[in-house]
Amino acid sequence: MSFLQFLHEYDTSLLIALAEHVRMIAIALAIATLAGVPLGVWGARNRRAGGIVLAFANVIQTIPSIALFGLMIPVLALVNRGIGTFPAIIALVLYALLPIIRNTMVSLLAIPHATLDAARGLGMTEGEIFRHVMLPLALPGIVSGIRIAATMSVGVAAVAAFIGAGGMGHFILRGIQTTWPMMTIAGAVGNALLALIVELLLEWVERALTPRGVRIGAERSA
Amino acid sequence: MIAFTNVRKQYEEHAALNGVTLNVEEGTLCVLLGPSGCGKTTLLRTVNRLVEPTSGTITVNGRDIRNENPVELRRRIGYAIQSVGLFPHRTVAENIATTPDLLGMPRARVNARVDELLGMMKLDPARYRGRYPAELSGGEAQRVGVARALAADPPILLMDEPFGAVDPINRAAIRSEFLELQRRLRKTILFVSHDVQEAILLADRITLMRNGSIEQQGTPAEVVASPASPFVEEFFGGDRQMLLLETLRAADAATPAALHAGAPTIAESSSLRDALLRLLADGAPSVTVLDADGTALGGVTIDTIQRQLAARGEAQ
Repeated sequence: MSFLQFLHEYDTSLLIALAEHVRMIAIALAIATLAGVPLGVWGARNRRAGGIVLAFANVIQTIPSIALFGLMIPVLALVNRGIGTFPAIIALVLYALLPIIRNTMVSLLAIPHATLDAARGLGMTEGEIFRHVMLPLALPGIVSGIRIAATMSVGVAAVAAFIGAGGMGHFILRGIQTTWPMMTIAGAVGNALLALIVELLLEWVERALTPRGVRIGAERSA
Repeated sequence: MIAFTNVRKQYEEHAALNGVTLNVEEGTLCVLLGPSGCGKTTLLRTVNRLVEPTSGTITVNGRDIRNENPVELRRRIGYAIQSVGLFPHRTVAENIATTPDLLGMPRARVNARVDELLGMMKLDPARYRGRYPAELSGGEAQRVGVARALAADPPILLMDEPFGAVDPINRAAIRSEFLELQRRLRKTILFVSHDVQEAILLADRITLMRNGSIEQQGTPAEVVASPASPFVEEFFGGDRQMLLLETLRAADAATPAALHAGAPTIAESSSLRDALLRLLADGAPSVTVLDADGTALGGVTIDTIQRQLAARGEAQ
């Protein structure tokens, strides 16, 4: 069977796997963003809290993904959700938190002190400083964190097939189990393409959200 | 008017301000001068409540600033700093419009005001309105920073080394333009500087600070001519006589007796230092001071200059 024949044969299940994969990642990223950005903002305002949050996110990052999925099983078995998409999404959220928190913190802390001092001295309220100065200047960096988390999640989500979460990893796993390389390759190539698309898409969003004045500044200093 | 009464600021072990009492009269420019760490910036920042004093009272136009909302207070006081702090994501026009926008000034009025201020700063509105801070030179950025501070036409300005980050040639130009502007606008200005020349050129009164206390205050001529302590004397350094000449106007010293036909001329606004440099450069016995219409106000000779220094106890 040629690779094209294989694709033809399995087109439906490949598309379903892709949809499962994208859905898992999208949900996990949405949750990680909603949690990570406020945590990053908090961490930038309160350095001690920021240190603790970052240390925690760092520790999670050092756990191999397969071990983290494994840990989900006994913990979530307590609520009868030890395997499937649910534990996979939780693990993905935990993984995605670090780049998002870290980039949010770093982007906010990188805003020059003089810019914030001027904003305050000219009579902006704390809320206005955040909305009109901090957020627009930090946004590209925050999106960059989401992008890193997203590309990483594509890979990590493939491993989630081990706990029955489906997705492209399912093909890789089945190909290994049945020693059918074509199936593994199909899953791996699909995974790689997905990572590439996610990367390019979010790179574009990041550029679109970079204020013109900041882009000019970056080009001048480059 | 800004009035400080016994203002102290204590940071844990370190006293940044040690009981400062100072009045800045309406329409005058007071330069806070001193070495770094003397508390001049801290004192400036207490006025718009960016720093809260540990004790003491500060009133702005008779009102105790502790009873004011800090945000509203800041919108009524202009603020310009050395590092400028322009918002990189906003155009020059948007930067200048910051405080008027916060105050909810109508769009058309803000736009007109932005153009007026750019003109005042000698920046062509058509060329600069839409530029971003990254597209400005250091001197242009500082001009925009000053325009932004003036935008809501505040009666009071706080300026922390606003021309500090420009090269010396541009700095001299910006300073004299600013001086001209201040002669027209008559704002009440508290101006932090560590530059003696700048202080003498701009100040109506100089307040020299050291270790969180005022070491001496007075007009530039008073402070330069009669230093109150060895510290003040040392701060003004070996150039004190030249500095003193810089504080004195040639027009005030010029006499009809010293007029010589064909003598080189200087403008009415020139200092005695300018007169002396002209005498030396041209090797002439006298320079003639001309007013704006070109009428001779009198002449200045080396003798005139020596008498002026002698009158202030500085002739050698």
